[in-house]
Amino acid sequence: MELNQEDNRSMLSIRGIEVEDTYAEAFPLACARVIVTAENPRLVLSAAQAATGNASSVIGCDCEAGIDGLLAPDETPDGRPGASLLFFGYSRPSLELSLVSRIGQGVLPCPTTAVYNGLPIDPAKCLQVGGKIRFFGDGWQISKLLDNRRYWRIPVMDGEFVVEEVFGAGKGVAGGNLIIQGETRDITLQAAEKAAEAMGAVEGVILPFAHGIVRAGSKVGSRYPKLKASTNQAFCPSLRGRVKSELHPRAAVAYELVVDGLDLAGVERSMRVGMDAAAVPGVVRISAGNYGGKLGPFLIHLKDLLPGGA
Amino acid sequence: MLSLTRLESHLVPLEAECLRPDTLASLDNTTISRLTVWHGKTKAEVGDFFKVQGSASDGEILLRGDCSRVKLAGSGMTAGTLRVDGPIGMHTGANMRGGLIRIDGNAGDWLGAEMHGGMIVVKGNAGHHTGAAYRGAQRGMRGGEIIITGSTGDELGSTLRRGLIVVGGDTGAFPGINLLAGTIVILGKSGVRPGAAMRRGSLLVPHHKPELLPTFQCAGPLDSVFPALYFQYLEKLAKRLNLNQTLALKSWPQLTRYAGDNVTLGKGEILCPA
Repeated sequence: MELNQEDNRSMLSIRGIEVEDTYAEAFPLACARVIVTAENPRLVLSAAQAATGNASSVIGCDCEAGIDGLLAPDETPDGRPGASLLFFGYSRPSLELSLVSRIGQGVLPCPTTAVYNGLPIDPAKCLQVGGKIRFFGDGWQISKLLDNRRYWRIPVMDGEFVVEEVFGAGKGVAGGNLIIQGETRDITLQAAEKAAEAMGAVEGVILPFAHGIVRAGSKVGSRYPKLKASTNQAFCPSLRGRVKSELHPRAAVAYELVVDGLDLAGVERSMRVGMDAAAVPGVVRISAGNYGGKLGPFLIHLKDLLPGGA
Repeated sequence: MLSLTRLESHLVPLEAECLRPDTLASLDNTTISRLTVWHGKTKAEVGDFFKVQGSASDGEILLRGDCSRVKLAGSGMTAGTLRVDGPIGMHTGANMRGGLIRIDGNAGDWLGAEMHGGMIVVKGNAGHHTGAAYRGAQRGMRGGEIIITGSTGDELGSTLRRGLIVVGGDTGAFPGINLLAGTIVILGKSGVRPGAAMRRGSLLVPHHKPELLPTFQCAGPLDSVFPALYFQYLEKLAKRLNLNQTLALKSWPQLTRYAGDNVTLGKGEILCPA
């Protein structure tokens, strides 16, 4: 570890790019994995985007959601193209509501789709999804029990919508993050895009924000009592001189990459590849956001993610 | 594994409902040999008809020899494995609740009648009333799976309430009669009047258009992934049970849905080629 001469911070580095000796603070959320299939990849993507839309942060959305990855026909239960979607919610009941609403409104209406559970089922902790969506069938729905899994066949205008009755719920990890600071917006955005792509490619994680990149990093609370979160002024370049800045002295721009995963190992793996991808010339610091350990029990130290770290 | 070899075959049936792996597992061979069986109306012992070897402590039994007149083997069993090397008689696996019965040979009538769970695999043919309800009962099979690589007799899955029956070959008349729910897959030819008086449930006959009752209505081609789920499951099952050679799985064509039976609730379906 060295000392950064410009602002007296202890400094780590990756390929000469400064890595701040800090940590991302992640927290547990209930999670579910949903497999959506359809007749062709275009329909899969449309349904997946509809189901995971407006789900960037539990601060203002009913859940956090994203597309984990696209699946080949031989990876799906019905042999058609598919996508794996991850959903994260504060509690199992709230996650169940989100799934029922998002699958019911986002996937069910999309032509040829079907929906399956993607996590192991613990009967005491499962989510009733198809078991509630089935009522759309208005009495014409048909149940099928196959290989100890119950499916509901709901008559719709192009045939049948098939949805699994119960979905497994796991304990996911949300709020893993990196903050990439660079000398110009173009360079920083390119680095962030590259990092987001690498992070999103890790199985079992999603980057819930649009394009995987956040320019509106937030802090907890606000001077306005009704707001749960507000802009993180310490990382806003335009407020330099007005507030205590957390930005590198040469940083003109900062972008945050937020990652949620089915487990801590996946989030760490994603952050590790993200740091590696973001370490390009023009980036002046890779950092992470935390709340002094008050938000969540998972402290992911950046130094542990460096090559040769713990 | 406990091996029970039939000493000689008799025309008079032998009722041997004690032959189930879950209850024999805790018994020594002497006790097993003295268990009661009924030879016609005569009370007898297992040892009078079978040579008892090995140990049942691992929950596995092997029946060898001509057991075509041995009735009720594995009936009511809840766990363990019963293997039959050769033919087996009536009521095998009736009221079964768990475990596996694997028969390398033909099975008699009432195979898996009113079973609640577990799996029966027959590498051969089965008789009449497979998975059916006994006369007067309101429900037949209530869970579990019966896989038959060959053909079956009449009234397959009569009054089936839940579960899956797969027949690799043909069936006799009235398959799925009085069906309440559940699924029957017939990979060969269905006998006449399939699904007569069915209320709910599904009969899949992917390679044969059976003679349907006039109380079934054509609903047109079925656009659903549900047959694909069954096909994939059967592929997986055939691989797991090493039935690839015997269970003829060729890809299913577009299936047409016939809804019925409209003499009752009419929420059942027969899926077959148009």
